[in-house]
Amino acid sequence: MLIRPVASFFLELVGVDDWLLYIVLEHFTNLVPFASLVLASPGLVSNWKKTLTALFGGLAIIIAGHLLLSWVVFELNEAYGLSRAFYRVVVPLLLLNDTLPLLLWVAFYPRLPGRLLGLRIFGDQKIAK
Amino acid sequence: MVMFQQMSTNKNHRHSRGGKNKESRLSAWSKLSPALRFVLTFSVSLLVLGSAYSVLTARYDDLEWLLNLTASIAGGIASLFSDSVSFSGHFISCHGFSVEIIDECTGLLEMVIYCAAVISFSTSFRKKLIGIAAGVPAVYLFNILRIILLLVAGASSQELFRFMHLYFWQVTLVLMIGTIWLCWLRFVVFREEKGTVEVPA
Repeated sequence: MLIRPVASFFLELVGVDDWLLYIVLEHFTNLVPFASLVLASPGLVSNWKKTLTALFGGLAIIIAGHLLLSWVVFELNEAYGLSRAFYRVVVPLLLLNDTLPLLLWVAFYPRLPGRLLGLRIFGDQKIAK
Repeated sequence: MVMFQQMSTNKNHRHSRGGKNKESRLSAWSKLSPALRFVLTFSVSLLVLGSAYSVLTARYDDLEWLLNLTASIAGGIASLFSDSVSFSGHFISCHGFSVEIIDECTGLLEMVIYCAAVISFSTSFRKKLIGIAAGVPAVYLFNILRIILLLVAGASSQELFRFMHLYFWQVTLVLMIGTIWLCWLRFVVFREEKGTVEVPA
């Protein structure tokens, strides 16, 4: 756990005394598809500044998301216990966390999804030449 | 009367100030890049649909039929390729390796994400409806394929199963939902008809 020192500091700061890793750990793997998407995007070397910004910016956002998720899961567990109500509130947050790689990739590379189809999806809504 | 006029003027003034605020909020929204607008709308839609999913599955706590159906379809297709595949209830086994189909394996969560992506894209209601009607079964079929692949991986190596189960969800999320969503954009939203191109509103 590379982020454990940072995580421990943050979680201690917000008053989390039990990091419920068995609930959230499986959802921390979203770092992998994000890094893969950025590294597979065109301009890896020629546009290295953008690649580094996307990679480190995106990974920082994802890791911040992991910390927030851990905090929220702890607070919800305190409030509801491991009940159905807990699950009901946690599912949308887990979904958002799991789709974060795709969302960040679209945010950093808005023209790429369209380029796959020869369209300008997030441009001025006109067809690309 | 004067007082009334003053009150009315104040009210109009407040109203016009409120209108200006609303306008400036709208213009701030339209100043955002279309991609960022999509990402924000998608996030909100996903939270709303995800909450609806959680509430509905908690209220109608009976997904047994869907679990059995998913196991039967995945097991049925896999048994076409191997005699060692058997399935019963929501269990499938292959070469002694058994998997249980649970709520998360039904593809419902992927459907929620896909629907949020379709709803968030700026296009007509009819096209969104077509996207959901055609995309949801496609997501389900992709999910069946994912279960079969996991079953084959588990039958060959438990380590491979653990690895694929952990990382495959994320990868299939990108591949499955991304592919179907892009197909919807290509063949429905930006459909070319007799030399003309339909551009979303």
